[in-house]
Amino acid sequence: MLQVNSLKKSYGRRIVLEDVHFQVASGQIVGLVGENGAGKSTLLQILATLTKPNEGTLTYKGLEYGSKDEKKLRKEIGFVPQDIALWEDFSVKENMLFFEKLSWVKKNKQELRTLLEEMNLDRWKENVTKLSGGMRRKLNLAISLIHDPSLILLDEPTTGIDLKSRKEIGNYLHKQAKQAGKTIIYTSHDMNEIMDICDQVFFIGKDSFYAKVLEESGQEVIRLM
Amino acid sequence: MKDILMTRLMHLKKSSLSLFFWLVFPILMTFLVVYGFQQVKEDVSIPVGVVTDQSSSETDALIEDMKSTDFIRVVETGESSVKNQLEKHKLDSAFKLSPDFTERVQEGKHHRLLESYRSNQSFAYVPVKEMVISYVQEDFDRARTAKVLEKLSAKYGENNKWTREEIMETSKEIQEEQDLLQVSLSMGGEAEDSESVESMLDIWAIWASFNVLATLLLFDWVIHERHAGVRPRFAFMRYSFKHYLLLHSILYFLLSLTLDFIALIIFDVVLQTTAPIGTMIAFQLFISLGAFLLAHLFKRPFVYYMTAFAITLVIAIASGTILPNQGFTHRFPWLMKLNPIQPFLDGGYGNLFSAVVVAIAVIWYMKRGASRVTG
Repeated sequence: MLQVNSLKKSYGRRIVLEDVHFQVASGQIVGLVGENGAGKSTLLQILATLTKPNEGTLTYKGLEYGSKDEKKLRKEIGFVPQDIALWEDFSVKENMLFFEKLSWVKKNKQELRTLLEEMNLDRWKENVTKLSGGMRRKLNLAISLIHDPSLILLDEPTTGIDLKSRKEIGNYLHKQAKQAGKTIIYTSHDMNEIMDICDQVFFIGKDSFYAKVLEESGQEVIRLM
Repeated sequence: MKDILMTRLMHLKKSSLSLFFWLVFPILMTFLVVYGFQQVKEDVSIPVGVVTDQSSSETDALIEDMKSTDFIRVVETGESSVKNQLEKHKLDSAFKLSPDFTERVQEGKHHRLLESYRSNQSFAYVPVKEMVISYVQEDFDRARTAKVLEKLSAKYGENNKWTREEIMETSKEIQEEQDLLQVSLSMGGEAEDSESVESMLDIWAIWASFNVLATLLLFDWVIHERHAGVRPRFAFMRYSFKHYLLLHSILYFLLSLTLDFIALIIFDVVLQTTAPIGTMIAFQLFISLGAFLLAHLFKRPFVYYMTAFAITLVIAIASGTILPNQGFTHRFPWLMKLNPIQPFLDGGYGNLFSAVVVAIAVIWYMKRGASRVTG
């Protein structure tokens, strides 16, 4: 279980997040929506331990953020950055092997291939530069999951890709949550995608457009601020 | 460490050709400079005129000595044309032997034996003049010895036992056997061994300068990888990005060091010159560390490459690799303390540069904050 209490984050005088409370159970998929600049990416960065909050307490599986547990926490987290984080001059295979070598969890080539095949990515020897946008997104996601994290944080993982790839990524995430019991939090501007795969939606920001759209469709929306 | 090595090999596979080139670059360039210099030495010589209207063993010996000197091309010419040739810069300088040169040498009179001239653009007059004077002095002393021996022979009733020519010839043989005096032309001040081209060049200064450039260019991977999008991933890996960079730098250091040892063996066999292994290790360590830290200051590889060339040029000049640098070092003595190759050339292990690099490396390693989060 991920638990967040009284979270506050500001950059100088600008308060980005204030008094944020929520909790997410294992096996849940949570969509994080809000207008640009509302603080979605900041919240995701805090949950990924990449940014420190000014106030508040966060725990995941009993491990406390900002304490000596942080290294253990990072082993539990799979963070998928919004920007594609791949070696552009490597092939799919080389990228997977490279990050496996540096990973906490050892996997053989077959296991790595299987991870990709579960996302319908079968271009093992293809160079990254020759992959489509959707394939690159899938590889970007697969690398973040090499160490079998139980908390998966995705920052707009389906931006700029075709519908088929979106569906494939969505199905994969759904399977990971429902079958493997992983906790998934991700940001997106695509309301259909959010409604399709998320169990809960957290709304963040002042522009209630997103919240209205979701509420009109019968989706339960939790306002974080 | 094995995993780190594997990840580096994956990168190196993509740039194996350029890696190989920059690793062998210092050795290749050193040979190129040494053999290029040898070629230039053979092709270029300073035209020096000699004017004499007589021929004797004394005049012939002087001209032969001059001809045997490196970088000198002796032009035997007449008095009437020497001025014209100097004016047209066909001669750098000219030396006129006095009409009674032979008699004066034989009689031990060493005044006004030569008259010297030079063109208004002469650059070798002073060292050539000193060289000619030393040759004349040599012949003069030999003749005086013969004269003394003749007198002694006459005094003790041993006339006709040795001729003057025999005494002078024996003197030359002894000189050659014992290598009593060797004269060479030197533009930089101190005389060098004219037999060896390599000795006129500081081979290790050349190698070290090119090694600095190669090391700087080899470390451009730091810029590429620091600004690659993969950096945030390292927060969720066994190695922080900082450790990843550091461990890979150690691999590059070891790779460069291997090539340094190969250079040591090759230069020893081919050029008969060697360097202490300990100072070589220290040198490679500090320049690798310096290159690693310097690369952190750049975002654009091109700017870094330009800086690397500029730094190498300054180091090469400061070390006397390109030109003799006595004036430079006297004017800026602190520069030697910051010159990364100076300890290596002096057979030492470090200087102010080494200390500064180590201090910055410690600060870099200890520095926390944003870099700690993402490595």
